[in-house]
Amino acid sequence: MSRSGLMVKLGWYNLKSRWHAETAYFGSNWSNMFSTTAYTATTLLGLDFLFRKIPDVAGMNRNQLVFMFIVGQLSFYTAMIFTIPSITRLVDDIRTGRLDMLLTKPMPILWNSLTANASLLALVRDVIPAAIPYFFIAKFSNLGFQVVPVLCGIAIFALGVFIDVLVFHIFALTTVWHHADDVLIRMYAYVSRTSSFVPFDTLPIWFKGATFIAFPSFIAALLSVSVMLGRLPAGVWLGIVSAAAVGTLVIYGIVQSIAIKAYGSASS
Amino acid sequence: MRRLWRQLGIIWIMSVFWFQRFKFQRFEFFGQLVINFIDVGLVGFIWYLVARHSELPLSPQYILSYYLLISVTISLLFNQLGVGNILLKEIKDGTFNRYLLQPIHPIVASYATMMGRTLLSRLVHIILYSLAAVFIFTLEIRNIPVLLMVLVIGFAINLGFNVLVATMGFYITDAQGFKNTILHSFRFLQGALVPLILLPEGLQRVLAYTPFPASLYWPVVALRGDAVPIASIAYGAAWAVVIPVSALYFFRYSLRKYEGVGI
Repeated sequence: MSRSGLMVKLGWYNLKSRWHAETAYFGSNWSNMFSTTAYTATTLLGLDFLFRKIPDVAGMNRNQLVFMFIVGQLSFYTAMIFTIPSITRLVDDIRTGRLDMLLTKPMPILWNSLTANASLLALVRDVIPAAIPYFFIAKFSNLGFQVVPVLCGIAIFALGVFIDVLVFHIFALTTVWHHADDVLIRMYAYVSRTSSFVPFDTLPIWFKGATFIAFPSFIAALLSVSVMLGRLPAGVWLGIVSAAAVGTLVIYGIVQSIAIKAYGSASS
Repeated sequence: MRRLWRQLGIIWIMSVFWFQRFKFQRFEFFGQLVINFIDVGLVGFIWYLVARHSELPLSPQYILSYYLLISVTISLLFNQLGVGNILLKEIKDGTFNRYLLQPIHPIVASYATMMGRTLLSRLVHIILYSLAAVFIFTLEIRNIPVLLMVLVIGFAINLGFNVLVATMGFYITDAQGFKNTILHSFRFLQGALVPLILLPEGLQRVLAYTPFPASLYWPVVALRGDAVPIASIAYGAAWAVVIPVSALYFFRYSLRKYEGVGI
């Protein structure tokens, strides 16, 4: 079997097995849905009360801000689902030495770590209650969408999530050197992702640059919105983000090969 | 009194025990330190930008200090229901059993564990607040007694909330999501999402009779050095007695429902 065929098969089996595990006992899914619904409801209520007092927030009207929150929620849950569980798994494999056993198997081990705990159910369970209410409230016809910026924005969103996932996997791979547990990475992921609620175009130039390294979640959550709303030139930013995605992939490849060589455990 | 000192002594020993892991995990120590500074800095920076580019009826400096103090107060008053969460998990997986055999109250033990695990972040918050109180705010010495009173009230109310959340564990197997639901609702009602002063006046009047402002909003106001209305302190003090006492009673009552292997 070709390598790509093996990756597809492995990813499919991992997702299926995780799905079975999470649907075997359904109680926790309901309570998670309640939690996401409460978050969305209180955020919308807060926005509503805020806009009774002021006409705009950082140059965005209520409708644009609601749209920014939709994209923010989508990027938060998509990136969280594909980073946190897999990072926890990878860091744990490195710290406990389980990576030894995986290295002896004829399979792409990092791809396995990436997909082993990724949850499709969480994507449905958390994204739907988080995003659906916003879709009812946002008036898309008033946002003045144009085809090219929207398509570029969607591409930036996808590339942003891709960069975000890769950057956090690079952080996870550094465990082979420092051996710290995954709490640090989880803390950092949460800190950076919960702070993405300001329009990207209002950020100072040095901070815009820093987001590509330090706060990659801002690309999908904020930059894509500013591009879709026509507040930033679409072509230029799509070019920058594409170059950043390629660069991150190259760095990921380099870190991956160095990290695997540096990995040492009791039995290796 | 002797029993109280004994429990406080155990809190100290357990906190130090949890904190000592940093002696051997230097990277985690510095990592957590950096992330804590980034957390506080990023929150302040982002809110400052929002306020600077908006027509809010509050100055950017006020918004910046408000959200920075929210971070500090949450950390000082155990406002994120983390203590309740520790007990929730232990009740669910059965490790709660050990408290029934040890000479320590489970709630005291959870506070000690939480304190030890997050002492670094609390220290960062206290240092940052002390610097801000000297250089930015107008905290006068005569305001300190009121500040301490408001903080004690806030701590007591949050203690009650934590105990109530822990008690859910005796009745619901998967209470984690419900705990988060409560947390998100509190975020709005306590003023962590939008300052209460920006809410409609009718809602502000209703909230004034509830325990929520005293559990976060008034401590933030007092930490800024601003005046806290006496009526609000009185309502808060009443809630600070009612909520922890009823929560502890409910916890003791619910403990009878607990079943664990080996008990």
